[in-house]
Amino acid sequence: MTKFVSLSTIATVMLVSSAAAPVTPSGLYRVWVSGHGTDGASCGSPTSPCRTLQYAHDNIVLASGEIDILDPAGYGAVTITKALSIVNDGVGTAGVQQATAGLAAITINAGASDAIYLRGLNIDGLGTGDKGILLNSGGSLAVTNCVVRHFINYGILMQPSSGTTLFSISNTIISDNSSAGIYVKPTGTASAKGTITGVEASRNAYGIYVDGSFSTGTATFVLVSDANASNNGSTGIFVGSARLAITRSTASGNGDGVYVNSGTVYTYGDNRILGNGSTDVHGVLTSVTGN
Amino acid sequence: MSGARGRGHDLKLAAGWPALNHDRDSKRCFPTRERAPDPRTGAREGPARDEPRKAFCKCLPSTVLWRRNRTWQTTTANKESPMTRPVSFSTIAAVMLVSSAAAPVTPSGLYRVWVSGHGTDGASCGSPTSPCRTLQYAHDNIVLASGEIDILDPAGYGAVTITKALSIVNDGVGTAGVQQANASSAAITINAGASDAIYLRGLNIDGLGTGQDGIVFNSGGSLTVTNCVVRHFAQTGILVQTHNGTSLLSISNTIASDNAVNGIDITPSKNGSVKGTITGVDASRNAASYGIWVSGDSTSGTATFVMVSDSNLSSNGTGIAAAGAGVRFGITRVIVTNNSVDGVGTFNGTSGVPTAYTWGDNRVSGNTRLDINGNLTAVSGK
Repeated sequence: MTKFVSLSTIATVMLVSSAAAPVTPSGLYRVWVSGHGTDGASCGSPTSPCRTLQYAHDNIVLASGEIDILDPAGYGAVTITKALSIVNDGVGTAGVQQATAGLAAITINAGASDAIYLRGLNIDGLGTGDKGILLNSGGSLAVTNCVVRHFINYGILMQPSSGTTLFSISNTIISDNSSAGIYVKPTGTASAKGTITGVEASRNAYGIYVDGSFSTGTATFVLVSDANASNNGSTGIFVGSARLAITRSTASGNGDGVYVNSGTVYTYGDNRILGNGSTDVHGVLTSVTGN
Repeated sequence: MSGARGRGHDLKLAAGWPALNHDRDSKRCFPTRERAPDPRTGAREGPARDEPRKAFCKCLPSTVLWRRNRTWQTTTANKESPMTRPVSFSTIAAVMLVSSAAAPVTPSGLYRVWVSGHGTDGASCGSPTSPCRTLQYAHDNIVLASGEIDILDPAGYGAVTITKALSIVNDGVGTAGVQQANASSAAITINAGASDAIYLRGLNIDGLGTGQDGIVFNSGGSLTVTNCVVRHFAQTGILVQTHNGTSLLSISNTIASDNAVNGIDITPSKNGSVKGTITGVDASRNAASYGIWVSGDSTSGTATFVMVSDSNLSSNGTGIAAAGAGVRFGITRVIVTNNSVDGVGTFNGTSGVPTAYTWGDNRVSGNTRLDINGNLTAVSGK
């Protein structure tokens, strides 16, 4: 910015600018999508909504803005590359399906400080889609009041490769996925720090799987509270090379209830881990007291 | 005239004038032979011979419309009201003619005003079938003090400054958005009277990363925030800085996250104190400072007490902290983890050290520097 700019350049820019239409919006901070909407350059208002999340993301909504659901419909898979909220506040089912093998319903390739916020979405893999929510990069991810189910791999996979990604998953159902329901897997130098509260992670192979072994980052810490990780084919909660604390949570009907492969799992002694086929707790839980 | 001439017509004044809804039999406003006090003499009774030239329309209790010779005039108990302006006969007549074709009675204000993404702001908006469009218009022009603005359908409703007792309610019709992208403005500003109750439910308040604050509570008797989301502001999600005696605060089932400074900042000033409860709140990822911050350093008031329960205060700078000897807070069933500085802090502010209570049932762990920075006073359940 310290470079000199020639006068002619300035003049050219001014001319170009003055010739442009004065009020063509470059985008909106709030974009509505509807089952009755139509994707097009002027879509986005409540009275002229867009149809799909991807179109709204790519063409209408500004970074840091939000896409809001106007009425019940399927809104299609979406790849998110900027700070964004997608919000359904109870109008009915806002569906995001992905039936194509190998693909995720929602893919997040955002900047290192971008906040991604998903609320009220019904994300379904139909037994063929690969992943529900795939975070490759992003500053933070919040998933609340969502359903993520029936994928042949993972419900939610977070695999950032650098920095620290903050996450919160709350009041969400993550079930019926063929591998892990929630898979926290930082790679490279990354860490992932987050909370999983009020989550049902059942009938997957693994309910919650936190593995820090693919990363040189050491800050991965996950707190799980008020969760139900039950009836998963292999394990309710699996931890490797990471730290995790569990409180007021339930794990039953799994192969193993809690599997401490490596790293540290803290308990406040108020969990209900019983009735698992192999072991309730594989390894050692470290007791901590409330404060 | 005139009594007869105006009879049956709905008298509707132009925009900016209080509506006249006088009733006799029809509950509508029209000139009658009832007499209002003469504004100059105060005399209620006039000479009978004057009656043909005096037609009165008594409207709001404090408002009188009268005609003397060919000039219609109005008066009101409130001298600052525009009703003190005289109105020419021709204006009134024109209004009457127009109005007689319009729907009955312009309300002088409503206790329930609907807003909709399909609505239009205008003098007669507010019913479910003719909703207003924006919160600010409804607040300024339609809703009465102590009334409520209700959300009819999903839309963005714009930033609003509240200056009277008011409820804004979205009971689950979808997203009721309030955005503020301006770096020096709040999405919702509350400058209400000392006994006014403000109630916000079901709003999705977003700062887009640039708006300054989400909810700023400058003055009012009480503020309730429930089922709301207040996120992504450049400074603070909910800022309580009341300055006149004790204000009451309740924040429940609300997300106050992703704000660049604080999630919830309670800093009364002058002689203000705040007595509040924070329950079921997610105040996380407020990057620079605190999930919840309570300070008594800016006030001479010493009654501030904040009770925090069933909340998640994680991935902030510090989860919850306070400063100032006049401040007390309690935490129970609260998760405080992954904060980049401390979990819970009791700091020695300019007015001393606050008191923090715990029931021993919180989950404060995994914070970078200290889980507890300072002292917690253990108390038992009863």
